[in-house]
Amino acid sequence: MLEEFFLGILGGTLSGITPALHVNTLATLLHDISKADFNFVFLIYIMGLTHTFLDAIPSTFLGIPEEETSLSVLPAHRLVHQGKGLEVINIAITASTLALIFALPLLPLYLKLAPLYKPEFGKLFVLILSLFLILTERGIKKIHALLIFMLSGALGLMVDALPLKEPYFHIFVGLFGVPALIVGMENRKFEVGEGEIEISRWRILKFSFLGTLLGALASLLPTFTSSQAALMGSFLSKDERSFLTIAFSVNTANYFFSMGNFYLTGRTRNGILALIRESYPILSEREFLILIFGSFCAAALINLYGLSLGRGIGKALTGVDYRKLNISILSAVFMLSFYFDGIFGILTLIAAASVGYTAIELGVKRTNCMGVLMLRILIN
Amino acid sequence: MVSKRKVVLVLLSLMLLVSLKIIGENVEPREVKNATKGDIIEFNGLCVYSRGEFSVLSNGSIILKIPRALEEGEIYTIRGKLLDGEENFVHPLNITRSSPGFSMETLNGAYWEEGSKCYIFKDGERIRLNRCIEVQKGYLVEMKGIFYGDTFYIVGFEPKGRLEEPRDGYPLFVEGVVLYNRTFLTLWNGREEIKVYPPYGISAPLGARLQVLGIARLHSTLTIYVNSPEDIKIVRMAEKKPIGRESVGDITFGNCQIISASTYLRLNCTHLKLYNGKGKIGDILKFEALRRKSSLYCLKCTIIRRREALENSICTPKKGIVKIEGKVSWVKVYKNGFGLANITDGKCWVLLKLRKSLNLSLEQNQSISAFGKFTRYRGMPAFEIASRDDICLKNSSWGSSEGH
Repeated sequence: MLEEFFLGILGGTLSGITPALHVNTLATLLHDISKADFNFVFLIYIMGLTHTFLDAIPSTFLGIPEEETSLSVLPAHRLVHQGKGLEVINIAITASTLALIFALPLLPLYLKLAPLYKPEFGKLFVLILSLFLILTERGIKKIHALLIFMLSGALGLMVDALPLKEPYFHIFVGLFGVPALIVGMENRKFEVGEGEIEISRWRILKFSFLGTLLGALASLLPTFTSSQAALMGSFLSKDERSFLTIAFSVNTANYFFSMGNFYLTGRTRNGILALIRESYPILSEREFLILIFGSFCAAALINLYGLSLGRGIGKALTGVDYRKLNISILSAVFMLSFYFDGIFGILTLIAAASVGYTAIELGVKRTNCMGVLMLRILIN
Repeated sequence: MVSKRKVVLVLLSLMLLVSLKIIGENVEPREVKNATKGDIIEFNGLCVYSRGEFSVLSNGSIILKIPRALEEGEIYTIRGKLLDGEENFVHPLNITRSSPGFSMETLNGAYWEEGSKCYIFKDGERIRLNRCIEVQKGYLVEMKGIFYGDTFYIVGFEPKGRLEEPRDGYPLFVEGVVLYNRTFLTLWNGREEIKVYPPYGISAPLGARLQVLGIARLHSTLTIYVNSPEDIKIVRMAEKKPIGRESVGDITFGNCQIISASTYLRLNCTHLKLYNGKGKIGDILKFEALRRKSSLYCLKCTIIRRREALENSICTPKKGIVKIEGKVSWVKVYKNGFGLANITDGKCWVLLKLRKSLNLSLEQNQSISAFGKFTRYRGMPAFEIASRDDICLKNSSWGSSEGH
């Protein structure tokens, strides 16, 4: 099992730091070549958890987000341009670790709540969140926010009708990544920084706890995703660092609680758990405890090397001309888009980027672009 | 103020979205079997399962899963996006009810209902149906549809009438008269005897004409197992015909004299044995009896004239069972146990044969009544009785005292 633990850490690290390589993709490859036993469950669970700690690295330095990190890409990018890139990575690792620590005592309460879930809750939650998102804009921006919400929502619906294998790559990279890269071309400063977190310990604890609660909620309600939970967090935070703390802790807490939900109800809330259910549908109590223990061991290990890894990657990018870097990344994004889904992928990416960039131009919160998921939930 | 640049961006976004919409609508769908994750597919199939917001469609060879509530048993054409190539899980874009565009299986068999579940019997096999149809239970039907698991999902059906000839394991409808009603019923359908096992606690009276629907088993006799009380109906009682004109399964009636009585009766009007009747030789019996294959079974039998009421025939010998009355003038018993008693009444006399087996001894001057028939003994008029019950001794304790 020790072997699986380290392989999980290695796989999660690889998928975490590689832009556009989702952990589910890697896990699916492993699923096809592995035996369906608990060792495999342990391996891909640790891999998924490690991914939640480290997926901040590409979204921070390169601006290529996944669905879970789509909202953090902008504040993270802002901090990168202030020479605080490594601080973002530090926040990600710290908030993720704290999410695990806070989640443990909350787990018994969560296990009591999980079986009470009804599908209507999720829809209601998304509706409230959508209204909140639009109505918190000021003046005419309420109309602009509604426009962006509807355009994004329409994008989500249109994409359904297209033969896309990786629709979320085109959507989220288009809505959040490409506009950030375009805007970022004007900014030539790229410094990794020292990595010291510049908010008080009390605030990081407070927002990590809040993120843990939101992550728990996201794991309960399937329509309520990590990014939407982070979106809720954006209403409660006033600065980039607080928001990032919430967003990163939501991500890890959601993953951890989803495993608890699966253990108790058999429901799967992410791709990793769906793969686990296929080959190993029921976890025993002992196996559940092993996964919890493994989570803390993985967190401890990632804390040892995560920041150094981030620093290494950041420094490697420091010497590169930022404008050229952004153009290279944009080119890579377009190539990946084409690789995944050909011309349909490119078209979707351009349409999504257009909506994302319009949001910037209209001066509304980019979180309104989450209409891409929310409108579909509300309609269906 | 909204700048021109912003308006252009909004319009550009809109234009791109409209383009995506047009492209999406014109994507040529792929066949499910050739599709991979993310492909747009079109599928025509029957909804074989639907619970909550989840349904399964099948075209007999491919199964498709959809997160939508559909109506079980209906045919749909789905255009959608394949989300999972292995599980065939589809995000539906367009769902329309349609006619079947897939090849279906045809089942020819007998329709059957049991409780709330319905089946078709085919080649001795009972196949579960997804729904009940408006065909009478036990009738032949041709069904078109598909299998999903071990259930046959009906798309269309055509009733084909009733099964006339029994087939092993198939439902059979029979009509007949109850000849026996023991743990099972024996029916006479006009040609043969049929064993019918009714449900627990259900029986039918003898002579009743029944309509029975059950599962036929071709053992040495045709046997029918009935699983529901509703499948046994009493139509009426069997047809009544006078004695001599009846056939098996009829109820026959008449007034006849008993000419022999043991565990069954023999009557002077038929050669058939009559069971379940009581009487003595010479009695006149009014009866209604069920005609079985080689006997009669008394359903309603009453003695309308006791033998004691017969006239004394000692002076007027005639055929059949008669009564003689008189005095014993002499008795002679041979060494072999056979005896003769001369019975006289005035100038009339007759020799009463006393078989050894009667174990009867008479005395001179005894008055007797005897019931039997005239015969001859060495050329002389004689009278014989069947048993000692058929003689009544007056002023004596011998013989039967019944009727006195």
